[in-house]
Amino acid sequence: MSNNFKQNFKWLFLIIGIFFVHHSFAYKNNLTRPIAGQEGTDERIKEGSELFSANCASCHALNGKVVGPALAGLIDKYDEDYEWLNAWIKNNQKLVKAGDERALAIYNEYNGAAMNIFENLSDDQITSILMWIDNKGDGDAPAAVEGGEPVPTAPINDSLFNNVNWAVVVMSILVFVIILLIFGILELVSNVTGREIINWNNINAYMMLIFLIGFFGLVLYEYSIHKQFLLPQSASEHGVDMDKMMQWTFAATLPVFFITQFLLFYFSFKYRQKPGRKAYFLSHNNNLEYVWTLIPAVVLAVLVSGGFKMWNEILRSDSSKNAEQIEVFAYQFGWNARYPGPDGKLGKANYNLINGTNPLGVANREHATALITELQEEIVSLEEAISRLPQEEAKLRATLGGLLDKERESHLKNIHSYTSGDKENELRLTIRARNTQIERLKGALAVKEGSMFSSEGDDDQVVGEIHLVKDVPVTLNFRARDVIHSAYLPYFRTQMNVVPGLPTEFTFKPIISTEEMRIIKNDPEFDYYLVCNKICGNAHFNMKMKVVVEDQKSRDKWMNEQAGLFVNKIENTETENAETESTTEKGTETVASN
Amino acid sequence: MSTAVAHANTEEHHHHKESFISKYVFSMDHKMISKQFLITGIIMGLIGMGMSIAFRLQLAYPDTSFPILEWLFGSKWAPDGKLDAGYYMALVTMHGTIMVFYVLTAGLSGTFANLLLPLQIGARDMASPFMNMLSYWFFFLSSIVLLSSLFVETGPASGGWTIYPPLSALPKAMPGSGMGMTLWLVAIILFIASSLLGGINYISTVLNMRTKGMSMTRLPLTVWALFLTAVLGLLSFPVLLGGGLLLLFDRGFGTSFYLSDIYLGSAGALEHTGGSPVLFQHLFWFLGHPEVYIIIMPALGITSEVIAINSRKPIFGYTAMVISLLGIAFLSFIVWGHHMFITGMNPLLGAVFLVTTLIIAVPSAVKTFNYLATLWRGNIRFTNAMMFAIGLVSFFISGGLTGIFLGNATLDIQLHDTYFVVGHFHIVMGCAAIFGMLAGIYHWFPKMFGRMMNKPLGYLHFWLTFISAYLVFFPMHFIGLAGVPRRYYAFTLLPEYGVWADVNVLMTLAAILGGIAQLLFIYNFFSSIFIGKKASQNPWQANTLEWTTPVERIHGNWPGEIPTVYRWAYDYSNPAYEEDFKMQNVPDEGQDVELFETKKQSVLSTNDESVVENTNFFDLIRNWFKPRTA
Repeated sequence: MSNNFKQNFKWLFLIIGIFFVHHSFAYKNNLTRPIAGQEGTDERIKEGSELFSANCASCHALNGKVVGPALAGLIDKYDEDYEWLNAWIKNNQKLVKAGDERALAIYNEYNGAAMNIFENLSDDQITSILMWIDNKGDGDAPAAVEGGEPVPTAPINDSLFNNVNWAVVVMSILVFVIILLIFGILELVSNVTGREIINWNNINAYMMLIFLIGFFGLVLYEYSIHKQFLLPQSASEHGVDMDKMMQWTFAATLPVFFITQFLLFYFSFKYRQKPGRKAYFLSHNNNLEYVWTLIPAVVLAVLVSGGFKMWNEILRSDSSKNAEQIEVFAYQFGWNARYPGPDGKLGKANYNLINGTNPLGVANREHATALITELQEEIVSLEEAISRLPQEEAKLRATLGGLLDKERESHLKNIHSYTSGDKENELRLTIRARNTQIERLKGALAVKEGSMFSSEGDDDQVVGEIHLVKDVPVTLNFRARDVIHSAYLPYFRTQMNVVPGLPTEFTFKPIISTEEMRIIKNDPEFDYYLVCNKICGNAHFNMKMKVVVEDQKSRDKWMNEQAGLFVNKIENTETENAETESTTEKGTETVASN
Repeated sequence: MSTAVAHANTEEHHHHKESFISKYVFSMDHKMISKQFLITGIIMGLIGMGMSIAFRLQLAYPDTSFPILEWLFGSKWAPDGKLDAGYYMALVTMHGTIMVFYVLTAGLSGTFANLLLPLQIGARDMASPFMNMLSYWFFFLSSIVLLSSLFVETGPASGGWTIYPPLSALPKAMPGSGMGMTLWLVAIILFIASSLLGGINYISTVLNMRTKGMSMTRLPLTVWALFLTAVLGLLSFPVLLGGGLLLLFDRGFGTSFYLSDIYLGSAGALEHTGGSPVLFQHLFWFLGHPEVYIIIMPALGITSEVIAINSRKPIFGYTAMVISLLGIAFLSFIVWGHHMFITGMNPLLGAVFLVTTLIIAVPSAVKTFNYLATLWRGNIRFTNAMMFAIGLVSFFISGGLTGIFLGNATLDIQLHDTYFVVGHFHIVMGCAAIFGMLAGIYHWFPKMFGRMMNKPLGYLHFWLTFISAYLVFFPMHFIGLAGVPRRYYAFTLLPEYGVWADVNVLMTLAAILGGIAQLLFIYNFFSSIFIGKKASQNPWQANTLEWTTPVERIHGNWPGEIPTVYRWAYDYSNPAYEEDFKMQNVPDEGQDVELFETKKQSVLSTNDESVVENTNFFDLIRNWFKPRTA
């Protein structure tokens, strides 16, 4: 199919003679070596690969910058300093604030756009990721990595451009110039003689006809090739109805498309200027106007009423009351989901509570109290950073002498940020923001009635995949951490923006399980995905979360494997809850005494 | 009205030598200002098109290195000849901004409103030539500011041309939200100033400075379209100005109009609270949707004129055409929400906007059918302008019909922000408006420069552009129906996107072909200014007043008195006359006393002035639209 398509447009390739050079990259081949004192095994590397695609792949590729730098050769770049790498991956911002030189260098190179925090990863997990990077960093992995296997990228006919030689380029330019010359001469001759040598009017009239045939032909041809990909089988209940509406809309518009385009080009051909003809004087006909005002109005009224009804059914119905509730959380650049856990209730959450160990900011007294301490420590370190500024500046000035060109330039810029007070200002603003955050947390903790802190959130499960039960309606409750994202699930005919500060939701009922869809699509590798569909930053194109639709039993099994956020084992929920409550009380006391 | 006409008539011609600066740079002659708008627009258009080819290369050949990109953008933005992900976004954003505002708003209505309004209504210049000059120089300054953002360290704005906050409000959210975004906002604020200065001028010119006999019902459709476009701009641009200023406050002064509940990976929890990102979207699209019609209406006006002239037939249903323009202009203010069906806006609002959006399709349909009826049994001359006008109608049909899908909120859930949308608006608003603009350039080139463009080259330009435009944008509907999101740097996210690799190659090659075709046009345009065949006074045998002015294009437009108008603009092939056209300033036999004058005199003789000045509103409207006698 694809070759056919390409061959039919070979003429296009020939017309355009542009010289393209293909670069091939050469990569260093690393041998497996012990990482952080541990020997790599296949399992560790596989684990690393999975962790990489879940945590890192949206911003990093092995080769080539995505948002962050390329990671191939990372270990040699930092001289096998595993301790530093570990600290950087876990919390790079801590290093930057502590004034670590290597950290500052990266921070400045990326204009202060910091990497996300990964305090949720254990030391061993980070080591596994490094093992995978060390093993795979030999250059054959594409930007996005899925389970350690390269994503099949589209077959691209590189040779097409490799083999284009200068002769073709020169030929194209010559053809271009010759066309200009011929047309210039034609114009000149007709200007001098006062007669048209070529009857352009007839030529263009016939071209209109040819275009009409070619246009319709190509539209139908492309449809015949791609029809199986258009509006893929709907996997949700409302999607089936929506597809019907889509077909009705096609039924209403396609005839209009073919008829009006036909009339446009046919009239252009038929009524071309001929000697001795005079156009038919017709300034208006009100009856005709009424007809072609009323017919579109009626057709559109039908479409409007259908769309209106269905829109209300999908978005304004109260079906979410009986649906399973899941929270979907978007951030730059990834997705998380939160399940309510065994108690069946989603705990409250707030952006002020977000940190490395609680990426969704789920409310928990103990965590909030600890976070206040953490923030207070941060303020102290920020104040220290401010007091260090003059020294840092002096140091920068001292090293300025030996530098040249680009390095000197960036150095000078750096120094300027000190002398202008930008650096201090930024730090002071951060301190102010942290103080506000602490105030807000204390205020929330002090609330007695209707407090957001309850044990509901303790058993919530924060996961990187959505598992849905077939034929059970589900409401996705959306929350964004930073900027607007959009959750797009094309197979479920579902899309909703994820807006910071504005809760949104979408309810649908999946009716085809992943397994069934694999059979329908005849693709054993197939999976549903939720992708981002609102521009949200540089790695916008790399943001997805797997969605699995299965039966109740396997979903329950999967759910049981997921740990609760503030409880480690689901069996111990009750005792843990009791403990949490007692510690929370202590926590409140300390806050109060503060 | 009559005093203005009288004033224009008694105006003396100043015959003093103009310096280079006052003639070509700070000119207050509307014809020169229109050329300035046009040439700036063409240059911006070339830049915008070049950007689109650069990012289309990335989409078609994600793994191929193009040294030319590194040469153009530097090793920072295109290391090893491969576009950086952030810079891809920046190019997409700048392409959108340049094309929508700088080419299709200023380049299109700036050029033709300036050129045609005074010439077609019979005025010596705009109501305020000085404001007109300011309008151009604000536009020029705005272009410079926008382009300068390409050279700042963190790159130009890259959050999409719709610049939704919080992404655009937080300098740390992405590199392009830094200095580049500030410059973008400054550029747009300057642009709005330019647009408002122009708009006020166009409106007052049309309302006050029409020549004797030029009633509103006798206005050519170009004037109607440009007039209503100016009204739209005047009412909607200030809203974007407000929205942009608030965004600047949020960026720099710590306000929270659009920001709330944000934890940024690089800055932690932010202090902002209480704002709403959706508020900005409302403010943006309150301009953004009328903007679509600001772009397409002048193109439709030009098409009406060109199709009528070259079919040698009156435009079919002049009254219906004017009413549908008025309808579109009115409705365009109450449909903006269809850009926001799934942004978290209350679904009830979505339902309301769904209804208004599909209603606006009716006047658009009426216009299309009227174009077809005009072509029917005409005597069609395929001038270059006519070809582009026919192309516009074809695009308007294709793109308008896909709008019916997107305007339906239910279907928009699936199609929103996919390639279907990209295909839709590039065809109905991008290609159609560009074709209208090109039709206008080919048609009024003799009026602007006194010479003709090379016709065969124009044909080649048309066919290459027409075919390549369809090849680029039509397949996008298929890609979108398969659920592929727009604004993706690479199609690597899901394996199923791989299917479209061939199509992406085809679209990119077609885009390059289209780019080459525009080079033909550029050559034709600039060479014809100097070596084109000398134009005659009325090369297209048209009826409107601009063809009664001398070819030499003098200041003040007419050497003697401004012609009086005796008929509507579309007396083509009227069987009452021997020739197939009858210019507006030619009276019928025995029609030496103008209708307008007689009416006024008879009214005055009854000594009841209130009848003239204060006729009730509905009478006025009825007067405008009462059927003409041929």
